[in-house]
Amino acid sequence: MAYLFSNIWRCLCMRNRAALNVVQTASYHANVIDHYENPRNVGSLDKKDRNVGTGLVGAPACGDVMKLQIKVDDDGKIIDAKFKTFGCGSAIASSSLATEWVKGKTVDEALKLKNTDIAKELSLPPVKLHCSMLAEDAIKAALSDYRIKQQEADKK
Amino acid sequence: MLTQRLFWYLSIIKTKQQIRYLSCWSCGNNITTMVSNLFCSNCKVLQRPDKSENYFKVLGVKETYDLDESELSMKYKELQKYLHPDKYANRNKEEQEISAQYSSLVNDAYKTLLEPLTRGIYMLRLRGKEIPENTQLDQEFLFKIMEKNEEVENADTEEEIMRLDKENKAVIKDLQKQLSTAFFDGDLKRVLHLLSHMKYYTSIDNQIQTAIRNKGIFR
Repeated sequence: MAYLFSNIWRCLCMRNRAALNVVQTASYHANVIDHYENPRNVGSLDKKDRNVGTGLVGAPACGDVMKLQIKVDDDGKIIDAKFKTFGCGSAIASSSLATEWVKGKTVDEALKLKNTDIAKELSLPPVKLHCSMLAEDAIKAALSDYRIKQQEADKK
Repeated sequence: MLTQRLFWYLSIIKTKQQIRYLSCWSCGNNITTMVSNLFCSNCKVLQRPDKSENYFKVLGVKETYDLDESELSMKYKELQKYLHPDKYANRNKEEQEISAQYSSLVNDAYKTLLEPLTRGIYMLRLRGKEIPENTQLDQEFLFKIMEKNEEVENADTEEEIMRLDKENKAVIKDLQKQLSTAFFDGDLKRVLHLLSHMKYYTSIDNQIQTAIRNKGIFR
């Protein structure tokens, strides 16, 4: 029983998706489940590519880690985004949605993305707001990594 | 005049509450003569749990991070022998309610203190601190955690999973040791740091345990 309970509420790792979606559907909003079951843009981009920015963030309160990468073309437009998250359904859904939203935006537009928009789209409850915050911080970290890389490349 | 009377009534209610608190709720016997503070020595009725007591006091174990787990479970079972609601099926409703309330408190206390992570978080809370909700950016550490998670995700053979399980358990054990020292020194900053690391490794442990279950590995 304790095991079941912890699986409904606590962090679920990505690999058990198929085995656990039966108990899951009871507590998450449909949008969260959609992103959780069919996550968009899972994967990695080449970290060393100068057009790729990588954001790696963690939530010490729940032990989640999130990696979000963006690929920017020469006009400053984000042409690709990938993520990898080990954490709860809300964290996975938040990062999945974030990659979907930043694609096609410019770097400056992407900076304006707010966690509250993510939370609203996914109807996250107050206890899960920090998951959307984590996604926002991941985007910011990826963008700042990209900027630093560009500045260093310009110096050379 | 009216306010004076109201005040008088209030003071009566207040003293009544105090009297009730100091004596058995059922027969009114003075609490100081009570045996082991679970039951009234006079009418043998179960007493309410003391809300001001922390989980260590509830279970009657020493308040320390490295507590003896076998002693903890012994105390827990001993208490439930007296408190379990099944024992109160023939008693009056109020005593049944107290038993349910007390026994669930003892369950919570036991569950919290048994696990090294939840025990640490609880002790931190007793000292007025929580693990912060903000985002962590320690790149080197997060990279390590990400890698470990990926390794667990990609492990297919029983041998590999069991190796990862052993390694991860050793990391948690080591953190536990460090936490014990940090609590002993009263170094709350270090406690906070160690607990947040332990949280990540406990998440990995959960992932490993589900992998073990999904693969049907028996130990």
